[in-house]
Amino acid sequence: MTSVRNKWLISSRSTTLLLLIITIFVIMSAIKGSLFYSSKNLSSIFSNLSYDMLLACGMTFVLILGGIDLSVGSVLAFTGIVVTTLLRNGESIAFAIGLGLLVSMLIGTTNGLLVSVFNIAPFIATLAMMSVFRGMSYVMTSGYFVVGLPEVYSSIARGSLLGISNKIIISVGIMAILSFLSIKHVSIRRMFYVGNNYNAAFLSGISARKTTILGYMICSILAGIAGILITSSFDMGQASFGVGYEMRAISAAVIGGASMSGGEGDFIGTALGVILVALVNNVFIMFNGSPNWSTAISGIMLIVAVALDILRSKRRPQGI
Amino acid sequence: MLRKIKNKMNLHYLVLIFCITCIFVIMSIQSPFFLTWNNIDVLVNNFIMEAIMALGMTMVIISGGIDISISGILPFIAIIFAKLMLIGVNPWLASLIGLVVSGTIGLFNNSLRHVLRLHPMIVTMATQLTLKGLNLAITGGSVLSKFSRSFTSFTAQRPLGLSIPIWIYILLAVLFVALSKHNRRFIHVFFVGGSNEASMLSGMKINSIFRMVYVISAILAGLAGILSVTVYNSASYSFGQGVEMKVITAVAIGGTSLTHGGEGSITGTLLGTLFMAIVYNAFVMSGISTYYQDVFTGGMLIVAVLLSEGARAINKRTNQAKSLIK
Amino acid sequence: MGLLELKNINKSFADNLVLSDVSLSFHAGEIHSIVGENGAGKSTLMKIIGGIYRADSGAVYLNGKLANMRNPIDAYRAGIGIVHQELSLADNMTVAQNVFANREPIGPIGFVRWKKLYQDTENEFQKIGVAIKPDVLVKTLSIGMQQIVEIVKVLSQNINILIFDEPTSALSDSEAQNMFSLLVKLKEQGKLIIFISHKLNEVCHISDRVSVLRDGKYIGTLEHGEIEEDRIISMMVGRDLSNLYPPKSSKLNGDIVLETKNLSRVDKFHDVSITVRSGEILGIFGLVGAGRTEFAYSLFGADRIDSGKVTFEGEDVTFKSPTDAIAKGVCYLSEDRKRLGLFVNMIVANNIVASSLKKFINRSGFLEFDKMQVVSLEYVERLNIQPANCISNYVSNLSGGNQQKVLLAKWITTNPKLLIVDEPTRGVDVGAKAKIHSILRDLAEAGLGIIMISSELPEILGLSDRVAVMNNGKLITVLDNNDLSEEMILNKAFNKHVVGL
Repeated sequence: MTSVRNKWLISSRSTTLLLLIITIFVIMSAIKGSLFYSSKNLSSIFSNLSYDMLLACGMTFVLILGGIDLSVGSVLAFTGIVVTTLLRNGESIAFAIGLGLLVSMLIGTTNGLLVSVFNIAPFIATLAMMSVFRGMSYVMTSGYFVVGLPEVYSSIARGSLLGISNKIIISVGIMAILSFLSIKHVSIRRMFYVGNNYNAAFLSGISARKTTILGYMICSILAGIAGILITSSFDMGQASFGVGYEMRAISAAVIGGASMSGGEGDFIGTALGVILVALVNNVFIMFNGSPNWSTAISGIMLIVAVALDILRSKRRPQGI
Repeated sequence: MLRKIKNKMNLHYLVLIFCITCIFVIMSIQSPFFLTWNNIDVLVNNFIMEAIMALGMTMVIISGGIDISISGILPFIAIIFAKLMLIGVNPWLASLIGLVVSGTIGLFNNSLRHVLRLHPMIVTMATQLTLKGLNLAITGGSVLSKFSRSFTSFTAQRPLGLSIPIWIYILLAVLFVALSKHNRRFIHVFFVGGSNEASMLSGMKINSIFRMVYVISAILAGLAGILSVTVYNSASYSFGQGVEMKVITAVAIGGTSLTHGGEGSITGTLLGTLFMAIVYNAFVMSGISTYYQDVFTGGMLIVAVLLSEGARAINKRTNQAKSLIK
Repeated sequence: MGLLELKNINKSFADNLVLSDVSLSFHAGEIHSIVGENGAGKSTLMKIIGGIYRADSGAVYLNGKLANMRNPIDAYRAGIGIVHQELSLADNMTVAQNVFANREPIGPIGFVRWKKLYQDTENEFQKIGVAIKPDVLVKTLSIGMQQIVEIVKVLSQNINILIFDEPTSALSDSEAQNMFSLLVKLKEQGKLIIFISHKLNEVCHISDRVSVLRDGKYIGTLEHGEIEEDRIISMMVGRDLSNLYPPKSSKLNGDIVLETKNLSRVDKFHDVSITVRSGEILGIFGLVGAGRTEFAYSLFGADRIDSGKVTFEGEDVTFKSPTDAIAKGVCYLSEDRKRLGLFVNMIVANNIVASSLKKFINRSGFLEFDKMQVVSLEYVERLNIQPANCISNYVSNLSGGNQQKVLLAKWITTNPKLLIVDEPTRGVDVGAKAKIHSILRDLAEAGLGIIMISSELPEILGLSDRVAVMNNGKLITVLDNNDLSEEMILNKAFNKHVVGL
């Protein structure tokens, strides 16, 4: 009985990732000592973690559906600018955040419609949307920072509870809720069916289109939340926030067990993937000294992650 | 029957030419500066790198793939070229090295695609990201400049009033139109894009055809990088930001299908490129924020894809079962 | 001594013996047809000749010499070409480019010599007496013309033996006529034509000899003058119905579950009117392309209905999607298990509950895993899915028969009133076949209406209570399954298909 449950719930991938993370931690602490585990370094590792966590979590949904969403970085920036602009114009925080989330939801819905109804390849559709909303962000701000926000707003991300920063609590909390839902909630379970075999899902009475749209919608909303957190944390809106974040999100999700061919994905794995990517980045910087390498590392990790994914699926028994 | 199809393609060209003419006329009326030699010069030179890369991208997309690594290759080769010159290497030799390196990157793209059976989008995205990171790391974010006087005066030449990149583009455009219409290897690109299976059954070596298009695309991006150095007399990691979107959009506007390989033409791309160049210029002339360029590019890409897929998409919406029956 | 000789060919896939000890001889300058039911082994035999498959044992002799062909290119070199059922043309290219694909005449710098290419193409077409513009795009041609391009492409490579696998299935009558005169012309040029078709009237019309396969065995060859449809049919059948099948329905006059009136879908099926009663199995027989699967799709809401009426349990219904149909109690088991049925990378239990997720959720939409597990276990036991502890195995690890049972379980879980099964025992071993048949009969006895689409006559005869025969998108007849014979059904399915010869 329990064995079935385990297959339903826990992947062995997560255990491997956890061990890997711990190993890196131990080795680094041994080599670099306090330089590594100083609170300054640790907080630099985790500085981007909360945004990455949200984006990677959203990306996992889309990957499960067999799609991809390149627009998340732009959605993050755009939502942030919508919210901060509203705040600067004196709107209430609740209204600004509500409208920001609505905007991100609409972008996600558009992505989903382009992909599932108009049959545009996901990477083309979301690449175009990425360009549109990055441009919109610049148009709305003319390239300037949006500043002069109410103090309460910045306390959303900057505050802390029991010594843990709010943004970590929020993103990890959302991640945990979604990961719980993904196992147990029917509308998310359907995504696995759709990603695994779109036609079979349709013939099994699962509304493949609605499910796809829902996936892209959740992904964009999470990017929107990340946009709110990042603007709150920096106390300003900026059009260049989130450039290249989509790549880190894809890497982390794939490292965490999501398959590029759809039908598979594991939120705990994704969370561990995010930590691993951040950690490897940090290790590299510790030895090399230049944070400029971090983009290159994301690229290499993406290739490695996808290559491992392909090798894994080759080993899996296929066919009738 | 033949006439019908030819007309369909011609219709696409005609519509594009009509649009281009319209913008041209409107802009000339609206702004007295539009039709000045100076502005035409700016218009052409501002989109020349994209235009060069669009030639290679067209072949990649016709083969059924895509290459977004070009926005990483362009600055990477520019930096290598600049670094080599700064340590005293002859510019011609440095150019050659730059082109060879970019070709190697194209080979690498194709090998990853072939060996791992990955979608070219993922492969070239990873390459792009890696190169962008390398660019930043190599330069440390600073701009490379201060080349020798002889180099800068050589590159500033304008034979017959046209800059060197434009001459190179004209040569390349003629070459690519001719090759894509008459060269056997280039025709096989259309074949492979149209039907992998038919090509294989006809005994074509599919991978070597893919290899050719990815190498060409990468070399043209490298060339654009070298030319950027000659134009700006500097090299920076920030060259070529978002250039892949503009290039892909120009190709899509030119009538090359992003969803079905084997459909498209270099001629269409030439028109698509001209269209984009004029629209961007019109933005500047009308005083609209250049930031609208990105919005416009993304929007045009979606529109172009929707137009070319429109009929098919609507058909499928009413009849999902189509994909069920083989 | 024939041009092509097959000696004692054996071939099996997994444990399934597809060809057993087949020996055949073909002569130059003849049209030699191969006929047999679906699964008789015709296509496999042709693929062995064409180098696509290799025989497990036995030999192929060409002009008396042993030919060892490992791939289609070897076969081409030996002068053997297959005109495939699915065309292998790139339809975005011109006729000439397709005919001479990868063999274009080129000048010094790799530029194609168009004049020569077009001239060569025209010459190739002239050889068979067809005039065509060589610079026309293939996609603008009719299917029939495309078929001719495909034939010319094969012929242009110095081919002596031409294999046609169901060449007329996509052709209109006049296109088929043109093709037959082409075949005769080629025969007169001394080429060997091997012709595979389901359409017996065509076979009788053009063949010099006809060989019959049944269940992977060679039955015999009819010489010119002996060729008659009745004779061919009796050779194709000749199988006795064993007691493998469960008894027929015990209550034939159940309530009407489903009734269709003049149901039509453009280009797919026309004016199909059937009734299905609870407790019965209605078999639908027809050849490939008869419109059976398309009819099922429309009934199931996976495709539109253009005109006609569906009455389900006494009320008029239109299913907008499979979701609607399933909610009302109509289910459809697809013929393409892997592509349209299974979630291959998911475990058995997930596959079983796929269509009935709604039954396993509480009020807030959370799934109740314990319930799902209990139900999955119950069906594994009830349908005897092997291995018995498989519910957490990936479904791809099961055998074909057990996968089919998993799919059946998926549908039974939804509590259907009407179950449509499409080729329920395709690619399934004998034991599982019998089990699936008895499951279907049990379901009918429990009150379901069942529509069984099948191309296997023994299955249709052995299991159905009534038999509907479809051809070319039309319902030909519905027969009570009393004293029906395979000949009677085949006659209905074939004879109506007059090509106007």
